Amino acid sequence: MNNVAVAVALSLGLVGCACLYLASPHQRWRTSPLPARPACAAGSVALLGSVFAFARAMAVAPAVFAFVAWVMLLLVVFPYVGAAFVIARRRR
Amino acid sequence: MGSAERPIRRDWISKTLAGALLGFTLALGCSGIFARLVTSLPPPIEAQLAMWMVTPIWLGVLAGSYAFASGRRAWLWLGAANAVVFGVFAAVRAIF
Amino acid sequence: MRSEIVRVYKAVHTWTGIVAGMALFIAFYAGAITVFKEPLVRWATPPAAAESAAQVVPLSEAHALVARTLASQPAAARELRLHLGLAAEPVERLEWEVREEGADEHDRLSSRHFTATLGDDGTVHAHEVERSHLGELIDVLHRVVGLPVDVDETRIVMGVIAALYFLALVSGFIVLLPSLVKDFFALRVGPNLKRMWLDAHNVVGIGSFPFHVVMALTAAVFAFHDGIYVVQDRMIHDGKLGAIFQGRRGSSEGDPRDPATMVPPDEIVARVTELAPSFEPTMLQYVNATGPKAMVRVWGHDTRALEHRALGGFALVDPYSGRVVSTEYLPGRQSAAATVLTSIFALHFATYGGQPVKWIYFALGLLGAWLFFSGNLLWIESRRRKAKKRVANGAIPVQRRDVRLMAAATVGVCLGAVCGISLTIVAAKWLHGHVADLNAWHRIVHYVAFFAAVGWAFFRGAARASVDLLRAAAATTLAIPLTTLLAALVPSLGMWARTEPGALGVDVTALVLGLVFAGMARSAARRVQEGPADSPWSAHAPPDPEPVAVTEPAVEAELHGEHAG
Repeated sequence: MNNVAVAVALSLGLVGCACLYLASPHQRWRTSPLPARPACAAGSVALLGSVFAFARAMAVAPAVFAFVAWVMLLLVVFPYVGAAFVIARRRR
Repeated sequence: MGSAERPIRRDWISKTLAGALLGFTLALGCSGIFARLVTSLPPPIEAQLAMWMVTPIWLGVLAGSYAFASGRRAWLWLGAANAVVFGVFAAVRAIF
Repeated sequence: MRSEIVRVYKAVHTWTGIVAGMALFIAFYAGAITVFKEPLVRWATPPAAAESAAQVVPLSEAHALVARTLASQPAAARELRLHLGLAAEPVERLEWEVREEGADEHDRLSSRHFTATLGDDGTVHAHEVERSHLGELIDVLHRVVGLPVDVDETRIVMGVIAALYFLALVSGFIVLLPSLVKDFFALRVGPNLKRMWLDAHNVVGIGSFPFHVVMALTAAVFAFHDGIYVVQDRMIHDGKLGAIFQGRRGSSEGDPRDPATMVPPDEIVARVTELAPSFEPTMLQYVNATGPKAMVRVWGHDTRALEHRALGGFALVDPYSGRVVSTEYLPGRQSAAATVLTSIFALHFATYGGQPVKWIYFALGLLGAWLFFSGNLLWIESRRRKAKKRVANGAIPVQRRDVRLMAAATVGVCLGAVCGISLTIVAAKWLHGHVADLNAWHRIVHYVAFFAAVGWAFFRGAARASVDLLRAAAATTLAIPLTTLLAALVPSLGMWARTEPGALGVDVTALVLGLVFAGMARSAARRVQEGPADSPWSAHAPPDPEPVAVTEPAVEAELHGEHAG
């Protein structure tokens, strides 16, 4: 397995999901969401790049599975990080 | 599944039994058709795939059965679906 | 979507969730740990003494040992494993298992392990080796939702739970469908606790929906596959299923063969790596090696490909001719149909994508456990009796009995499983050398802690017990790295501190998890003391005066009204 490709794939997935999250009206990382269209477009490009990077490191089927698993984890974790920000801000 | 206005009867036991029993036989029938029609695969692989397709169909039907307007309708529709699938299975068995 | 259908599935979701939720918590918590079964066993195993490691024959000279062991040990002739030594453990070159008479094929806890060495005169000396069953025990808890043994009956329980889990997933999805896009990513922290728990539950359920569908369906198949095969054998395969699976293995009758005439192990390995250069063999498994249909499976890993199980995949080789007979289970060399099958297994066991995917599955598994825990919290919060705001100094209502019992059961069972698993891991070091049958003690320690926690939860009430048990979960989990630290500082205790990345990873992960539990205990303590008293989670809630039989149409209406719009 190509470790550099995996690192790139994970990073691009992170960036892509962050773009999608920040474009949502429910995001809690910033005071206001990013403009939806450009953020979603950038996020999609990053996610596409992530799939290709995974496919450099492994065969196509495990690459797609790994990509989906990673995206699922991020989509779950990001709102919780947002909630943690909200709680931290309130305490201050 | 009935007109949009008619309320859905709960019929928990009847629907659950229909989905669990008729869903299982339906899934078995589908796997039988698969096993008879698909002959190009190595037999052990084919037998495993036939086994694996049972549970998703079975539980899918079970999950869907609560959307029927009543328990009676669930039994009727799923019974009819079983008749069709086993009819096809018998035909496929006779031909192949 | 018709609101009527949503209402029906809301009821399906509530019932399936409440019945299966706690069992699924245990399955997911133990399952997440099972991803790292191998490092955990390494953590729990004392490092081998240097002299026994030196005794291991080099692979190039293992042929005589293998041949003579196969010839002299009938149990080994049935199935023998030759470890190629790429991994540091186990140090024994050879290994075979003896199962208890009549033991279930999935029950590996009762099996005994043997190894063999060659004496100076060339005779085989077989002797039993100790194997930590810690990883297997946690795996069994995972496979049969916290029950002690993996046999037909407990697997049926698991299958029913998995079916309920699938129903809960589908119904939950249908209930959420009308607001899916609008509420995606929403986690609204605020005074509306029901809203918060609902969001916290939905974020996990929707975000990792495909993961959960795969887990529900594969778990149901793992539980029911024997039964389905029996029915299909009669209905579809005309009773020939046994022959289909036997395949070219055929009957085992015939003259015994002399294992000394087999191709040497290093040559068998070379044949396979020649065929698949990216495949890294780890173990040779000789099956019926002295029979006419002798086979050797060359197990190993290929991190570029999907693998059938944690051991990896294998090439099937005839040990007498050295010919590679089948690559149907060799990672990356499979046919399309076999790849579909392997995908199903790989998606459940996280046997693809190397370490990153294992960590992703670990996290998704823990979040899955949280999905079921939060589901119960939501059920409880939805049925909470609130004090009337308009009435100043109004009486604080007594919470419904079923709500109080469910709250106690939720913290008792879930946190009891956490405490039990952590404590039994710790016991691997503390009890080693002090008890005769450590593997039996692992089970005892787990269940004593588990049932003590459940009893405590009902005795103390959910509110106070939630704090106590979270503290206990933090303490027992933090005891894992602390034990290692103590072992390193005070070697005279007879414990060990292993420094391989895998074993240290166990310590670091337990440290992080323990701190998370400690944080949760702190906020639970605050909530219990300072939170509103009209809650099952308040220490100041009034005690139960009389068993009251009040029907509460309001709750039902409130629940149903939520998504009816």
